[in-house]
Amino acid sequence: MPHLIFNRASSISNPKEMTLNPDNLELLSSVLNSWEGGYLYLMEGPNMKGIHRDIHWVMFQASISGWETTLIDAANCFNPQLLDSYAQQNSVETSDILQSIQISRPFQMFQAASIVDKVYQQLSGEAGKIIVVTRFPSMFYDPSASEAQDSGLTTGELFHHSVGLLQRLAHKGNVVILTEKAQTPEDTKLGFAVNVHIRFDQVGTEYTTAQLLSHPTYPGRTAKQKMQKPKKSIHQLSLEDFF
Amino acid sequence: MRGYILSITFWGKYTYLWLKNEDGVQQLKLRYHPVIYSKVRKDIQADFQVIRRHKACHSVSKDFAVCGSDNAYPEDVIRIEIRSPPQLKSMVKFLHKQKFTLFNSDIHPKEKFFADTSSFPLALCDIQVEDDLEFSITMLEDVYDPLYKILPLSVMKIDIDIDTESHVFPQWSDPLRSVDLSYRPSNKMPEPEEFLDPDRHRGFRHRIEGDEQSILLCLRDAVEIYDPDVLLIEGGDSFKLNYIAHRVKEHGLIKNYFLGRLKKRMRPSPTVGSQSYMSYGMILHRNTPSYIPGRIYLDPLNSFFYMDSGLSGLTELARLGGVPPDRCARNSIGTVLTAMEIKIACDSIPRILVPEIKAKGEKVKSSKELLAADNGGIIFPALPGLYEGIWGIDFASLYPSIMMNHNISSETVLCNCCVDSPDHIVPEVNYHICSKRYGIVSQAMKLVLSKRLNYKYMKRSCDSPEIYEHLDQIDSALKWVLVSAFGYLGFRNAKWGSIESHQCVTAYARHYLRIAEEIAYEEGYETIAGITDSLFVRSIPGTEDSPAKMESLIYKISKATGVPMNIDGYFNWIVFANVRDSPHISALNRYYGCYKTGIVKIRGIESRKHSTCNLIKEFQSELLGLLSLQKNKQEFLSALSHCEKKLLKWQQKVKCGVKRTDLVIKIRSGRGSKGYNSNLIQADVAREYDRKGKPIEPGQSMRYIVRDFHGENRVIIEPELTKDSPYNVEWYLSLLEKGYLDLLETVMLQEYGEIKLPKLEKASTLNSYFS
Repeated sequence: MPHLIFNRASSISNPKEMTLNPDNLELLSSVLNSWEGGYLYLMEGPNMKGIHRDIHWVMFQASISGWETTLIDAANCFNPQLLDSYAQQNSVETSDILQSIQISRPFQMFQAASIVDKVYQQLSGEAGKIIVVTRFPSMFYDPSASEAQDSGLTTGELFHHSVGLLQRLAHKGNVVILTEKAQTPEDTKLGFAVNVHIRFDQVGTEYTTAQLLSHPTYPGRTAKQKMQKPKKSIHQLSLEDFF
Repeated sequence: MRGYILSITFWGKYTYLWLKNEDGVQQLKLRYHPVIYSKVRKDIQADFQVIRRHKACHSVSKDFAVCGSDNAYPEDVIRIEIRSPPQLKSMVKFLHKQKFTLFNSDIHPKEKFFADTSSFPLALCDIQVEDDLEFSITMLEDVYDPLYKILPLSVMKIDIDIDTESHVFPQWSDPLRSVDLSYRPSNKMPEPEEFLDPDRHRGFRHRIEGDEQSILLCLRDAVEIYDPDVLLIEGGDSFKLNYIAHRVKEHGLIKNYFLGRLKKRMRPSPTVGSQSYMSYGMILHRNTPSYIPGRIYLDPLNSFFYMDSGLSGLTELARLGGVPPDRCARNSIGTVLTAMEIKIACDSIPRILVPEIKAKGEKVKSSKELLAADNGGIIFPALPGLYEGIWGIDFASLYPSIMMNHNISSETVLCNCCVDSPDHIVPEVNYHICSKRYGIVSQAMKLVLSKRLNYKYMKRSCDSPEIYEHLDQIDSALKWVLVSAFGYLGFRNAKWGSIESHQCVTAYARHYLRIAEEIAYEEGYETIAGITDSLFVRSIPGTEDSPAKMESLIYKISKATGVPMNIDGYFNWIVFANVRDSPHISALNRYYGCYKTGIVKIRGIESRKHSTCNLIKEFQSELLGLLSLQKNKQEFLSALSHCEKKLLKWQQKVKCGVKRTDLVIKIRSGRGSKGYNSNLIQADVAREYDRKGKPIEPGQSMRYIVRDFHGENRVIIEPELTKDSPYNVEWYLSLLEKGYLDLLETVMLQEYGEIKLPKLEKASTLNSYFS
């Protein structure tokens, strides 16, 4: 199985910049040593922005390591500026990074299912790719889609079909990462379907934690970190500063 | 029987249809069999047998049609007729279980009736009914023809007055105090005399008073005797219709109380259904509609189209989309647009079938491609400031024209049939467009654009104010369809929408605006600003500037782009505002200017916002009235001192006391009464509504004045407002100042380098705020 090992400290040239946006990266590396091909990962937690920033970093690292990524972006969170800042920090061409990331954005569950299907057909013969699916389960539990649900294809059927395809993609040696905001609904049993389950949480107002809930080889573990408050966020910049 | 289809209702296994003609309104009882289609699974005869097993199957046969617009060629399909509309659901469920791929099965039953029978509401037709109630409909007029006879409709408006006694908002148990009825034998349109019933051709207004039971009976009798085609009940969907049902039940009249033309009982419900939804980033709210059989029942407060485009606009949209007018009135523009597209698909030869779900997602592309493609309209930002001698020119219906001219529809962009030898490539995004088929969206746009063009010409040559109003209402309704068509193309559930087609439209729009800018420069005009489909240009010093030259310029641009360009007007002066706190950065969407004719054009300023109170609207209107008298930049600047005096005058007014209704601010609640944790003013307003007995749902409007911004009781909601209600003078003074700076900050910064405000006399005590 191909292995992806990202050592954040060695690759980020300006760690000070990273502290501007407190995220879960440190925590993630405490509970998970590497991204391994062949596994289906689930990252969940209330702070979706943080998780999606981490996902961008993962995609960036993958790209500079020569891996190709397919992003099924149901959360519509793709942020080229963030990738650009990572590229500048590491003196890499942004366009090369962007070229290595394939993207498609589903906006409702039928589109999500059909895109997963399409990606499966494209990549089923290949290994060593990264497939990221953001806000995956909740796309299938969208209350505004109730009208479409009358069409006979039940939400559950579509969801299980898509999870099955993603499991198969992982089984062929790809890294498949899913992100979700809330705790996965019990009936979907997504927690059992994935190989690696990581949950980020907030303890009070001061600490964030990362829990490795399941992993085929490692035991469960928890890491805790004090929340870092940003000194100056982008919202506090004046427009003149911004330009 | 000839006539105009007024309304349809499904009840039991029968369909009731009301036809209006010279003899009045005829009720027809029919057997309508909804039609759905299915792909052939393996063996068509075996499929027939499976389908016939279901008791709802009326008939099954072989047909030839295109399965969804993504397919280019027709194929064998199964046509299934269902016994009656209520059985449609169970049949669809059964077929899904049997793994049939269905088409035309998720269309609303009333729209389906018109699609299946190739008929249209409010259009002249001939209906032949057999003894066994089977029927056929032949249309006697072309709904796509702009010239048609308007069906005169009798209208009754019902206003009810409820005795609320001690509480602010009415409840189901409150007694009815009186009912105001107004009746008009037909709408304002010119009408053929034969339609008028000689006994009831006069309109009237009448108030019904007395004990509650007699009021209710009198209302029922009036509706029965005058038999109006249209019933207008303001607030009917949100409260009043259900309230009437509650009062009728209270008096034991429910068995014999009918407001419709069918003896169908009213059913009081403990709550009124509603729905909150998100559209263009805003949370909106809509009440679940109620329908009255046989009549066009409208609630003006729950009908955007009726309020904006009147009965004529509503009639036009109902005819175009094949949507009953009462349903059309309450639905979004997207529903009408989809209905129009479904009609086009169903009337195509061969028939194009409508798939149940829209599963076509975005094409998987590199994020580099996405960055290039996923851009909106182009903007050339102006340097903030005051300008004089500016021409405004803009493309007429740019986006719909692009969709029509370039055949942009979900099935034509990146089609499978032209992938190897593409003829049409979209600039910037490099997607190909089908050259073999004409897209459904493009056909719908062609239909609406050509109709609107006809009405525009007819309006110009019209002498009669009544006919002008009628044409204007139709024009307005069609304009809304065009305005929304582009946004709807990118909507996730639009049947004929896709992200790629959305991106193609903006790519062409950017391309055309650049062409327009280049041609303008070649002709001696420099661009001051450009916003998506319009340019603000002025002649380069030393070059000629005249209306004739401008006419020639827009002709050249129109010819080069294929989209007609219009002269919006010549501005004596125009102000492009800066963003707050940054004097050098243009606000892009905030400007105002005065045409040579003296008319003022405003965009993005406080007066244009729905939430702004009348006080600020009137204040800004007075300032703009003063500025509109100035002919050039110099005169504008010399009028600034007068503007300062106006500000002082209005501040004095606020201190002395103004009409409380002028202070009312209208906002839409984003979270509803239960959803706020914060201490924002909208949270206070929502809680106040809740306390007074009307919980606010997300998206509902709230109206209030600010009593004491920093105190505990910050707001007074509008229903509690009296002419002496206290208000926070200081807060409203700051609003006036904000309104003043909204207009003049940019000019002051440009001319003086600083903001000059007249000195205010501060109120000495808190009590004086409430004087």
